[in-house]
Amino acid sequence: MARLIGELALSEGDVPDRLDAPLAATPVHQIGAEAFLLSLPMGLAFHYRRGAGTVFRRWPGVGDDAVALFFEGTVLGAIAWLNGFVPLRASAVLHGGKVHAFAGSAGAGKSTLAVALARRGMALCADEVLILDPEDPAPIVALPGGDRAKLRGAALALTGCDAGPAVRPGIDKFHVPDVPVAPRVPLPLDRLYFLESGAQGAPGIAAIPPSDRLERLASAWYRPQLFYPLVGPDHAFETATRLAGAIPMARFDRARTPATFADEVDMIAAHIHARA
Amino acid sequence: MPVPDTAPGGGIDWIVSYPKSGNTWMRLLLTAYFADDGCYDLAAEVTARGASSYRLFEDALGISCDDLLPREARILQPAMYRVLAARYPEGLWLKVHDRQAMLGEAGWLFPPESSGSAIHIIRDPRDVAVSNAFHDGHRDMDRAVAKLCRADTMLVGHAEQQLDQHLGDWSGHARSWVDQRDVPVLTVRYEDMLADAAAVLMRVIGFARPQVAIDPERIAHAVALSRFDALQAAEDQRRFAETPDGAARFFRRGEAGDWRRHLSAAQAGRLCLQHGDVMRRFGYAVEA
Repeated sequence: MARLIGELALSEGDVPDRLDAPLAATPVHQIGAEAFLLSLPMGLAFHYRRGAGTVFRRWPGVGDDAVALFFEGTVLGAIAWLNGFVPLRASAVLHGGKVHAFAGSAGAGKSTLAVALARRGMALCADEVLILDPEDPAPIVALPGGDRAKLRGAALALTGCDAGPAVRPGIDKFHVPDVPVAPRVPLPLDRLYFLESGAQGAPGIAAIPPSDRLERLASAWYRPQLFYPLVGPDHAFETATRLAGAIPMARFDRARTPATFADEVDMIAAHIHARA
Repeated sequence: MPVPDTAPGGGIDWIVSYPKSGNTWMRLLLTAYFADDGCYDLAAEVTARGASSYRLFEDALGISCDDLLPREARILQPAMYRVLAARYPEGLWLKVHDRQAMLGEAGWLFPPESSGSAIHIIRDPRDVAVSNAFHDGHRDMDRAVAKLCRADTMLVGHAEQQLDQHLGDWSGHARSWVDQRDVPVLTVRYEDMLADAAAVLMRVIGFARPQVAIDPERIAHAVALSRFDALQAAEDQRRFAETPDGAARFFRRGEAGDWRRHLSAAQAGRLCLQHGDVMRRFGYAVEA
């Protein structure tokens, strides 16, 4: 993990228009064996090279908020994949010296739940991206992202949080002030919860059997389209199998209504406390 | 999830309509026809994403829609479809409610070079207005009629994890598809689907997949599985995920001419006055 932290340097400068011999390319990003390029429509571009860190270029008017937003998201994910780590699309909190992570589809309420738990004394480990080290399987080590909590307007109301600055002007998503954030140091991952709503009727928490974990884990990978071209299907499968065998997983099924939200936070908080 | 398609083809086939014009019914018919077991799970199908799905966008381009302004995401939509067309060379069906539009240097919103065909479903705008009023949960017919008459009508989608969809008014929407010449278009009327769904389904598959030998038994099975009363019965068992908050159900009546029970003469007249040309073009009686 120390090696990854050393790769996270960010500076402003020149960014090439394209990579030499990319392994995969779309109009927005290119990835090679040692480098990543992201070009965004508002005139912001990032170029990461292994061992050299990331350089960004921006048009006038592109603020530091936009730079931080994309660096802490897609660029961080690419850096993780390029260095042999596995980024999950997950929020996470720290309690009892361990990381408790929450995965789920877009809009499943991962950030909302993490902020609600942070308001009950747990520290935020990740808002969007949680990075795992697949090399040491017992227990799997996670690197808290160090990013700030961000919530949409409706989620602010649900959690009772005040709105900080918008993540970017014009976007209905806001930084949440006064949320305790875990330090960026490696920590053991205790459990990965998958957030669902209504799938099994009554709200509850149930272990995910080993036979289902591989598919579940693959659904939680962050930007897997960057990973597959790098390593090929065999290595991707081997990585997923190793991690799926080492990470305890559970399904957290919720009614997910404003009226039941507090009770559901109580339920998952009690589950986490019981494991500490 | 796109409608499964094992047939040979190429490019994206757009299933295009103004909202509440039969788009979901057509997708269910196609799903039932092409499904390996000739069957489908309605509850699973309703998770099907359209061309405006956040997840489809993020899968294709590797960036989050949440971090983009709507205009930034829209400029990237053609690039998203080019990536998807390359990724699914065997062909892909996607639902569309947007009007076709030229986005300056970015080209067509739905790029012709990434397209197979467009199946354009049209329905009497008076019934579309009534169905929208119930679907949107307000049952305010003046408001629903106005929606079909405004050039700036949009579906703002981020709460449902969808990109904003620019509909415009009913006539402009239809013209944007049928009067462009770069994507082959087949227009089918909802009322003809009600009268003979099998015939319409055969036309659609024949147009979008001319290489496919159409199987009449599969057509009949797909139509039986997708009858309106069968969909209502399935919805009674489990709420349809596309049903918005405030709407009692997604599959409400599905009949032609329901507008006579709900629209005043003034409301129907406003739609006829504004949309008469396009209504006549597609065989809808324009009443003074």
